[in-house]
Amino acid sequence: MKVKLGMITLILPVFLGACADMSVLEEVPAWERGSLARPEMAWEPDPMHAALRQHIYFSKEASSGAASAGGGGCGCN
Amino acid sequence: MKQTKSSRLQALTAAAMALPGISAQVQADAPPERNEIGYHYSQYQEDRAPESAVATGSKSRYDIGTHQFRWLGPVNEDYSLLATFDYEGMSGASPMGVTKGADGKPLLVMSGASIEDTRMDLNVKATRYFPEGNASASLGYSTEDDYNAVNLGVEGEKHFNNKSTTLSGGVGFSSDTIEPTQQSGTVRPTSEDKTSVTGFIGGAQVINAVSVIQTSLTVTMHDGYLSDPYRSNDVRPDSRLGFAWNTRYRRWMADSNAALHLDYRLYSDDWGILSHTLGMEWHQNLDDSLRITPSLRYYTQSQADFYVPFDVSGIAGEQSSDYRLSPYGAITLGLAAVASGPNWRLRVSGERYYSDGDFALGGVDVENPGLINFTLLTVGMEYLY
Repeated sequence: MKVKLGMITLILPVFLGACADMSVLEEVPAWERGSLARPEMAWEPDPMHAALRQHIYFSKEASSGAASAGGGGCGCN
Repeated sequence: MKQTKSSRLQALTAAAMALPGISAQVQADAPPERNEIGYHYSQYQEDRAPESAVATGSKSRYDIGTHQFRWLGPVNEDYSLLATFDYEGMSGASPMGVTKGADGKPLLVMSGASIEDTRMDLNVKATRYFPEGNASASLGYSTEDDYNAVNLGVEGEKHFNNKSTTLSGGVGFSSDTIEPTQQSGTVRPTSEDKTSVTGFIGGAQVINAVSVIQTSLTVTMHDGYLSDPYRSNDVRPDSRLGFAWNTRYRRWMADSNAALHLDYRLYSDDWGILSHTLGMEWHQNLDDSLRITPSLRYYTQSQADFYVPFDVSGIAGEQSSDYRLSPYGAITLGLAAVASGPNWRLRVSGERYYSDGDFALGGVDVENPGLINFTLLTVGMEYLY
């Protein structure tokens, strides 16, 4: 129970802050997008490790589904 | 020479475009300018099953070493090619079922001898770039001692509003065959097939100069043999329809010289599984060439409709005591360090995964004794030429 409350206490305020950020969209010209183009801002800064993690969680948990069309296929018992 | 406003903007834009990585996300879609080759080695180690949780069989769980190879390069002005190859060697024992102990508590029935297997997975993806988007086609083949799978997919992206908005979509198909290793004294199928079809649509939006968001909906249909042939009493439906809603948010924190990543996934399927996955990463730059990333992931799932905490022999109908279909929650703590130069990148990372019935959002009456804890350690490098 403590772990669940800890998770919620830690993560929920961050997600609520993100929601507030999304409430106003701004027109951002290309020359102001330098921060967005930084490597650490990529959806997956390390695609090799992201692929491995996705494979492990797909094998060890009941859920699956990511925004990609390829991959898959393992016995995973 | 006096610069006009237009020429100043052009100069600033050109400078911004010269930043590493910017061409991939902000400028017109184009193949990478250089070839990129990478190698990672990862060691995945599950904790041994506790003595008190095992009725019979080995207490060792899976130990997997994974070699990953990746090559990405331009083919010409409009095309790129991506090839990945994974080689895994695995050993350990696997739960065959769950029985009731003398005190009424569940106990694992583990396979006796250690299982040895290797897995090879080759994927190739070709991408065509357009001024306002890209389109890809991929083909993959995966093989184990008892398992073969072929997959193919097509996907694409289209940019709008000066590339502030991106829509994406794709479909994938996989055909799998399992030929279980036979063992005297057990009845296992000799060969079974499964087909899977996946489709997704998504959209990404630049919110402001420091934050972006992406959301997508994925639908997956499985049809065929979906049971686990190595479990004693495992009969699952022969189809499965699942939905996953993924949302990812990235924010640059200029004051901290760091990037915040937030990910959320809602998953639901017609087996009765409902899950939530929350992910948080903090990519902290220590200087121009060193970054550390602490991460936290929380996962919780409900049980499948046909999940049983104990195996019941001699009854008709669907049942499975697989811990992966049981109700539980899991937490992953991670730490990664990435050092980089003009044409290279080194990575060292470690993750620790804990799963427990008490971590689940809903109540768990009988926790499955097969829940795992594991450690994942990775070293890797990439080189651009």
